[in-house]
Amino acid sequence: MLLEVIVEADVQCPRCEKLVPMLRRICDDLNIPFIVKYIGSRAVAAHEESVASRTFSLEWVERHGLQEHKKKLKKIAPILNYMQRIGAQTFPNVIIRWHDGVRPKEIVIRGFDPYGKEAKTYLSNIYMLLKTLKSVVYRR
Amino acid sequence: MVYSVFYYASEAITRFTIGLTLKILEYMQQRRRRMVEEKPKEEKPSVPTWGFFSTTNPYGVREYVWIGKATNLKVSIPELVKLPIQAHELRKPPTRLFFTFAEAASKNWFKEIEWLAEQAEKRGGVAGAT
Repeated sequence: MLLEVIVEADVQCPRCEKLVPMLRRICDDLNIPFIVKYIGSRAVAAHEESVASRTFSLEWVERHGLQEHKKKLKKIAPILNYMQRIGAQTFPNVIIRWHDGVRPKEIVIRGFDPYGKEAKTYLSNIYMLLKTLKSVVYRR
Repeated sequence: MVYSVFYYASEAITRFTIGLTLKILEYMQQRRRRMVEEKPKEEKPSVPTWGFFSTTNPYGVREYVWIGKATNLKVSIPELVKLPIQAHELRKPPTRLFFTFAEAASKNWFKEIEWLAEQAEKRGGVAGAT
């Protein structure tokens, strides 16, 4: 495939549920293949090489975390413990993959906040990017 | 002495008669079941009738022809030649650029993409905030 959009999502992830129809609409509008990969919390996502890269532990925040994190540590502690136990994963991951004639290239975007102000600019940025990529890849 | 001559003579006669009867019996048995000997087979030179055959077509190019076993199929495949074109060899590894949601939502995202792409070119692989 010359240009495609893949979303790595989880079935129980509410952010993915919000993002997927929006991205699907963009891809349908631009006529780009769109795939949703439902992967569990224990799967290795696009942005990481192994599960070892997940650092949600209390010890890590105490050592390397920011001051803001350390202040809120008491509140976050049970959540962090829970995330550590289930091996939680960040979702959704949007992967934009294209081939420029020499090699495959990828852009991986992690996370999505549907309630923030940035959601609109995020989607418009993705729309612009896909539009330019499509014109470059298919030369139309 | 006389006794011994008779004795040996009679023994010789019995030996002869018994030996003769045994020989006759053996001969009769041999006649009854004849041994069948295998005929020496003529070895035919094995010529393959199906499979891949390398031939040279009238234009002087070597090609392989597949002739089917059960089907009357003839498929000619030209010989594969490695073309000396650069694009055929994937010299550069695939690139991956990583962004977070906040980066992707910012107005300077496209500038960041360009900058990261340059960095990835220099490094030859992966770049971005992971």
